[in-house]
Amino acid sequence: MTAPSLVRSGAGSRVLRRWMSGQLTQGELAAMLILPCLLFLAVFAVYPIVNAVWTALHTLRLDQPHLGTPFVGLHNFAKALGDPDAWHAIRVTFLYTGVTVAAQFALGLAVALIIHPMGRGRGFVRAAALLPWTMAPVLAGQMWRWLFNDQAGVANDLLNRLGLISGQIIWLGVPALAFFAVTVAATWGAASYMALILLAGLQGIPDELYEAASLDGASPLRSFLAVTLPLLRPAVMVSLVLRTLGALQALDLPFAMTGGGPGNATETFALFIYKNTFQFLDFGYGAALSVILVVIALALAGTYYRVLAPRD
Amino acid sequence: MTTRLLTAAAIMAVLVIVLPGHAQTPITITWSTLATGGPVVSDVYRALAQQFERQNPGIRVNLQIQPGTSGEQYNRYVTLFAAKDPSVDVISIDVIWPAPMVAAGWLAPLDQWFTRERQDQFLPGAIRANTIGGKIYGVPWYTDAGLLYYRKDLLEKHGAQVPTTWDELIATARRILQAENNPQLGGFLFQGARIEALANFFFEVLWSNGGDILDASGKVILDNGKGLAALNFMLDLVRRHRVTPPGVTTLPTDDTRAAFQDGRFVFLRNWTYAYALFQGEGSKVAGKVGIAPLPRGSAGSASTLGGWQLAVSNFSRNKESAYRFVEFMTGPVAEKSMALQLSTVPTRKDTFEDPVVKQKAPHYPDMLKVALNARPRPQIPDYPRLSSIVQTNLHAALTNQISAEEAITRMTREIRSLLGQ
Amino acid sequence: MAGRRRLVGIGHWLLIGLVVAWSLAPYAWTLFTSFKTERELYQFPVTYLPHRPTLINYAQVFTQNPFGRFLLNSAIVTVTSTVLCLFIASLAAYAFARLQFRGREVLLVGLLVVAMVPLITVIVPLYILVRNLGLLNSYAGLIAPYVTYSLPVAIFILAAFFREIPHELEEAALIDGCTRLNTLWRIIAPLATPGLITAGIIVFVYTWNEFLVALTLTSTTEVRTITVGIALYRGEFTFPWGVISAAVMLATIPIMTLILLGQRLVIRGLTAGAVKG
Repeated sequence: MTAPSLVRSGAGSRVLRRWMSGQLTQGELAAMLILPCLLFLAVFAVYPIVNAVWTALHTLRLDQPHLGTPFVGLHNFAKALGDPDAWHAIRVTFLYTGVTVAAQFALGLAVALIIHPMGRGRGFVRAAALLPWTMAPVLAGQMWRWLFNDQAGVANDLLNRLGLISGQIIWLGVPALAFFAVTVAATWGAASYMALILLAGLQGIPDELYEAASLDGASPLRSFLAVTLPLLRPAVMVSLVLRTLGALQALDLPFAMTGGGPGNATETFALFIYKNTFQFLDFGYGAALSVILVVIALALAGTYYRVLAPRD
Repeated sequence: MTTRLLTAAAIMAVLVIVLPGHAQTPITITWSTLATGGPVVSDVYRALAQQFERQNPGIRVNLQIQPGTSGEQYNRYVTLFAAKDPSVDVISIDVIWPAPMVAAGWLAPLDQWFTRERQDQFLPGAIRANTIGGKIYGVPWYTDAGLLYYRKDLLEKHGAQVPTTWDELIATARRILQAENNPQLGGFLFQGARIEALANFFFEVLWSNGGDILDASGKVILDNGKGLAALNFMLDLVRRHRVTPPGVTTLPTDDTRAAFQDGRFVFLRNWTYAYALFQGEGSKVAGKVGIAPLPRGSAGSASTLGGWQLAVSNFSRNKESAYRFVEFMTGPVAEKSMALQLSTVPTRKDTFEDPVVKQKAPHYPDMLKVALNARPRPQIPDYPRLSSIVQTNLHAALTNQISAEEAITRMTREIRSLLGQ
Repeated sequence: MAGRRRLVGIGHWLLIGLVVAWSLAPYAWTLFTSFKTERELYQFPVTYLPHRPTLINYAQVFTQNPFGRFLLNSAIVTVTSTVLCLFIASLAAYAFARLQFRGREVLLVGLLVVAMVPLITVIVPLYILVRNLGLLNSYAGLIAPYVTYSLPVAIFILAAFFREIPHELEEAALIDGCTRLNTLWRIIAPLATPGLITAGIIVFVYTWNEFLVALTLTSTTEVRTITVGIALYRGEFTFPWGVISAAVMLATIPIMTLILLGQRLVIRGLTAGAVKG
């Protein structure tokens, strides 16, 4: 990371003087504002991440120390490209990300729009709507596995009581159903996260704009499309980016619910990285897979940015 | 007596002068362990550690309780050892860790202290599990094994014997299910989720019919027909004999325990930990549960060895003191105390014979039979990967994604390529 | 007209009811579970409300482990991390949202990398780093990595909200002779309160729930946090649902309080912003 133009030799005292008098240039001010953040990143993120990239370019198998740690260039990456399990995990992760982020966005926006116009009681409803996301994923996973248990689970019990099915569906034992169950659990957890960001975005839109729109005789739908959506765009973008990053890293929830099964139908890429690193002790390969995951995330974030960024 | 004391005092005095600071400062060794069962368990450990400290005034023990499952514990030790961390001296390790941990150079060999003669006092299977390349790296602490739980009350009611072969198990289960005619009662349950225990049950069926994954020379022999037969047996439990419900594929270890404890099954394959819970307060099946070795196949009965060992970290700066503590914690006093207070299954043969233990825990002779039958899983450094291959393909077959033949073919191919054969 | 409005009102309340039910149902399940005996837990068919409610699980939470201590540790670590992270992130976010400077894009990519790198991949070097700094088993040793790895998310959220604030307000202030920093505190921050609260809640919850780092960097009761503490109730195989549900319910209280408190602050912030605007 290139540090912005802060500390040029001898400039320190001059910068300080102008700081006091409030006459910094934009670049200098930016540098001062970013400095604390850079310090934390430099100490606690740069070394581990550089180390990870270094590891990705070397053979590092803890279970076979006699191999040493020779430099192997892009060998670990080539191995990933030729590994059908890695491709499978990528496919699962893309599908999982697409489905959960879309469902979370739709539900989150609906929840935000429902809560936003409330008067009294909004605080309570908002807090209630947020609760699902506060449950730790590993616990949520255990809970959902229990709810989707075929014999003693609530899902089957409710469906039977409502007369929608008779008998027991083995949710977590059939690939498509297991995938569905994991998606429901993930949506339950993270839709509220989306709603939180979108709701804050809605609250930031000045009421005057709506009043102006309604004076112009705009219908609610029209004012939603003309006023709400454009002004909500930053919140939409940040919530989509963050949820996408989150979904790409999904590990605890599917692991606790299915362990990656049935077969390896719900084995996500993060779970695959975890297995290769901590169970199989192939740190070089695990690091290369992580780099691939980061690159995928960067590409997706770039796409969002291109599609959604305000063009002003 | 006085002369001895005087001599000792003189030696001490000389030591104090020659090695300033060394003789007075006690060595502190850190023991990192799981404590399954909560504070009751860690209190027993702490009391034992204090007893050790009284007997060895120069050594202090720092007890670190690690939370979580075996997998979570493993993760933490991998981090610690990858960082070559010397802060932990003694660790409690799962029976499947020695091979990968020794390959990585993380455990210290104990042969100079833990001699052959001493090894003979322990269960042979547990010793084998800790022996890698002719050297021993851990002392068996308490043991575990796959065993058969059965409902004594139901068997008695229908005049059935405890099944000793797999065929008898199926026949008995079917007979009782028919007679009871209760849709909520199932026959036999194993751990069918994609977890380690699924692979273990497969090994047990495979071994009991004379098959194996690798032969003595390490060659893959899974595709010699016995592997397919074992998998077909598992599938038949569900599809042909209908003694196991299809939902078994979603049940990890403790879920099967819970279902059996709710009185919903006649037979269960599980580890020893379930026994105390079944007999405990509030259990629906308290007093109605019997234990037996797993049924025999054509080559006898076999079960997977589980359990925990104490090992010394290779990064420890006080290996000898660390071993002295290991020796104490696996000695007769500690094993007896743990067996009596925590119902752990001992690894020392003499503890099973102890009259007090026998009287307090009348099921121990049955446990001993099971423990003697237990076999270590394939001892290759790459075992975690081998197990993952077996689990994934078994589970894919059990959930109807691939045929049994396909599953065995894939397993064999993947394990061969893993071992470079 | 009035009839139609009432109909819309009723529909709205129905929808609100649906949102609350969907959100609370699994929590209600956890709450009921925490009052059930082990026997009723595994009972089939399922019981919803506990038939014979018991407090034994709550008693176990406190007698088995120093639960209060875990809560306190979590509170200290989480509150400190959140406050520190929000402060540092809002400075940086303002720079990203409002200022042109060299290296901006590179930094953004860097932040994305930090947000995205799986913790399992960096945990070993992170462990070595924290150990070499002498911070193992200390609050600081947890807070520093938590702040670092939540910074990107906080900065993204805050920058998005800063950007939403109309330029005109700020320009007016600048013309009035306010310095940039003054405008940040006096104009931007109050207007961006919803964003600050949102980022705060997200960082708070992330830190409160984090498991891997807390497990790896601590090994003593004095600094262990609640997630690791809850894992202590589990055995090698067992998952004592009743006790864990009770612990989860107790651990949820601080989060619930924070969110309700946050709501108040949002309202106050908005009012303040409205007065200024």
